[in-house]
Amino acid sequence: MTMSRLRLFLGRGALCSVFLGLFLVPQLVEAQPNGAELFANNCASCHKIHQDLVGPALKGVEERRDQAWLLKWIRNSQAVIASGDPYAVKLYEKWNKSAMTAFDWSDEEILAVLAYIKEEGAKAPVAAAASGGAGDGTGSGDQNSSGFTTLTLWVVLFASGLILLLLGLLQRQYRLLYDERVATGRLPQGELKQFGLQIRLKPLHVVGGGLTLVLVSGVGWGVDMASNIGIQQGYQPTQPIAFSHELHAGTHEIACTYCHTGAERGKSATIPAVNVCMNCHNQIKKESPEIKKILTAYETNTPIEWVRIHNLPDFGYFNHYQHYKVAGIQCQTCHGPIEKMPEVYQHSQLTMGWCINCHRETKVNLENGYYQQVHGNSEAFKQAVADKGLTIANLGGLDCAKCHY
Amino acid sequence: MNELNMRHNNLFYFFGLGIGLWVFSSCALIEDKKEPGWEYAPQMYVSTPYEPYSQVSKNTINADGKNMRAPAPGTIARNGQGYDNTVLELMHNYPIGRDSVDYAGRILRNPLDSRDTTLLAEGKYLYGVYCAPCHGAEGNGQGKVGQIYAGVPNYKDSRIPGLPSGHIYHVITMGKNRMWGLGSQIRPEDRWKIVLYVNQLRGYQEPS
Repeated sequence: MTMSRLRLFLGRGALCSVFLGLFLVPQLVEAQPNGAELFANNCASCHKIHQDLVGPALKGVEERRDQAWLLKWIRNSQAVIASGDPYAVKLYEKWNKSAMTAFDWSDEEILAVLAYIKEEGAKAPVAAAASGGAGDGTGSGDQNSSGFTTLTLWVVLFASGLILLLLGLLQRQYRLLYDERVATGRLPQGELKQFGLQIRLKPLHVVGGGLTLVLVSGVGWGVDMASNIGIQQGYQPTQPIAFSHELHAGTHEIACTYCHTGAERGKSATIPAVNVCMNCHNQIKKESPEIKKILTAYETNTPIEWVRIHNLPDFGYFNHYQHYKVAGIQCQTCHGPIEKMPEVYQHSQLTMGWCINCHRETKVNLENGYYQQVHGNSEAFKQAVADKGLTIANLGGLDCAKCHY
Repeated sequence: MNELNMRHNNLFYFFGLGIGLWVFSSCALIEDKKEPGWEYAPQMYVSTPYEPYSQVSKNTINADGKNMRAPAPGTIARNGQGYDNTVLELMHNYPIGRDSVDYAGRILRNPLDSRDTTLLAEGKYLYGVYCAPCHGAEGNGQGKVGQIYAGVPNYKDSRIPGLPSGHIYHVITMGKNRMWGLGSQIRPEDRWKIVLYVNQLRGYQEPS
């Protein structure tokens, strides 16, 4: 009897404590400031545990300074510096006088952050991932693409011609030998086919063949040259700085218009001024020789002379705003996979036929202010347009004066 | 085989070789990518009036030889994006020093209606272009560039939600601490649109 009562008592007690726990524990947890979260939201932008960033690495900070000092410092570092604390002043000087933000935190919150720093500091540093940015754009200037030059090709061609000539001569010698053997009766006639020889080269053949070769290749070369005049497709000049669009627009996903701001509002997409480069490169990769060119340009106030790749003739008018902003055409439609180009080249032909083709095929973008406000963009209007398949050509996109005026 | 056939055969080889050469030579032409190639009538291709972005010869009038020229100091854009209800001059000849961010926060007022969803959407787009590389799409400071640049604050940071709109506008224009100003890239009106979106990200309510 007593045993069962005891069991009941214990059971109820356990149940109660579980319930109590359920109520109490979350409250306790809530009351406990989360060091990791505080660190991530407030400290991580300037401090890392194992590495220096804007401020010093925080590993072992409690060994360097005692808690009371750290509490004062975190709450108001400027006051500590102003009080003339030698360590604080030295620290301030060492870190380029960048003032640390004052955090109006309770003791518990600061201690939680310090505990988090201690805990993380004890762990091995994670290998610095993606610290420098993958692949530097340097040196990709003049290799592979132009290594196999025209000269190389001609040398190969000349060599193969020479080999052909030698083979011809060899064959001729062999032929003479063969004829002689047949004539002297050492070989029976009619076994010619066994040697697979059908051709009997005569000097006239060689000369005639050579002339044909020169003529055909000459005409071919001429036609090719003539049809390529004015087309600069594939043009990939060497730029003054080995800037990689692959790295900036691809890897780091910087929008095209961050630098080419003009595409949003004008005819030219514009080449960014040096100060736009400096927005990031006042900090990033300052030691690279290519970046140093930017710094020099910035300091001496001289523009960088980039080589223009897309040279549209002056008699053809083109406007970036009209295409990019109004029609909503992606940059890549004309410029190709820019985000995959370490060195930019002209992707499209930029011929009139190429323009016209697109104007014939492209449907009008109805999602802009003109159609929404001027035409009201009613469902009936949209439907009518969809039925007819309104293209740029229908709007006069093929008229001469659209581009030539 | 008779003589005629042989000759045909012979010519065949050479024609083949010729065509091969043609292909080769055309390849060789394309290979040379460092030069723009020929033009039929360059005087028609190149603009007679000076164009800032297309220049083939040295400019004899400008001292530095470039067609491109910087506007005179203090130039105000013709489309004049002034707002009468705020301090007009502030928008163009921004006279507030880089370090006077608190002053800017006190005197600048956002001229745009913070309830206008179209403006907010434009602000979001502009934020994505100009700010997100460092500040991250969510404003957590963890954009792809921000991670390398370092020192980019989180908008959820305890201080930031309380800062006035003028503060954000000033920082976009002039920069603050490690951040450099983007005043040359973003027009004043667009900056205020970005402010609207940043206010949403950091949970700031414009006092009415």
